[in-house]
Amino acid sequence: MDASDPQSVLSQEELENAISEFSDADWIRIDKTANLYTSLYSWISIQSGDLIQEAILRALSGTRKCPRDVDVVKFLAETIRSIANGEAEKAEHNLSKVSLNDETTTIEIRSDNPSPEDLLAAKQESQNLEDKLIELFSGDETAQIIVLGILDGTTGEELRSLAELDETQFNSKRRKIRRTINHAIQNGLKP
Amino acid sequence: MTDNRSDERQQLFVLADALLEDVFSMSDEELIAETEEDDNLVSVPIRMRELYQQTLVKKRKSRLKKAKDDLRSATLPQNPAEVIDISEAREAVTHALESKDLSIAARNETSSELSDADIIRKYHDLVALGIINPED
Repeated sequence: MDASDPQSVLSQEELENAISEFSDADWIRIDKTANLYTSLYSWISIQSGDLIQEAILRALSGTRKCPRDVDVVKFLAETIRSIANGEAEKAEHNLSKVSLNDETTTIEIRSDNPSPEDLLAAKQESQNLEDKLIELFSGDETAQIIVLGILDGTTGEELRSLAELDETQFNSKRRKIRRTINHAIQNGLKP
Repeated sequence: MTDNRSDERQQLFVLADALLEDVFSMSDEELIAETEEDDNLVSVPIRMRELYQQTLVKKRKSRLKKAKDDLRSATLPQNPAEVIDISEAREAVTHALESKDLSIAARNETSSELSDADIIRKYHDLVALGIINPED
């Protein structure tokens, strides 16, 4: 597909019409996509609404072109993903520039009697991502296997085989994993 | 520490992609059922459509501003030296309008009827026609 060929990509008018005709389910997909990235990339400051708006603006301005044979919802989701990843890498790069030898840093004296919330916060801070997710799915070994597989870069059929599930069971388990992670983040888990 | 954090960021990237795949594997009915369960079925599509309309307005405002900026750049004199004092321009146009070289219609206009913007436009037109010499 030659993106420089105007016939191979949707015109801005076609794109605008397509988005105008999104169903409720299409919009729910877009909303979930943006929320997914903004909740997991907790170190970036962009809000999900801004992410969606920026993606639509880039699409309608022609900065990002939608191939004619690609579903517009998926194209927009991919644009959201791309912007989120760009913001995440930019923010990560800025974070890594912060000096670790800042003599002006004040030291907080910890209480001798930390509250349960303090203890939980301290524990979460010391845990790495893997540990946090394993704990989140304690009692569900299959979910733990899938999550570890994902973090390890395992995808598709290989991931499903790892979990020893058929396709329906795997999709159902993956859905549960996503909703559990979302719920945990809404309730304070910091990935 | 920095390397560990970077590795974790990479892990979050792949986790996000895997969970996104889940969102796109669901049917419309499954998505709507899940959103209904979260008590968001009415508000999410409404909010999204409102956001889209706001985005369209933002895009159109941006395009209008660009068009205005382009027009402004096109009508400004190219050479800063060509910026002319309005009273000088009015005087030159007045003199030119009294000239026998102009058409009756042109001569029937009087410079006092013309706004400053009109004077500037007419001045440049008359320069382009060779009727006004900016050196004078």
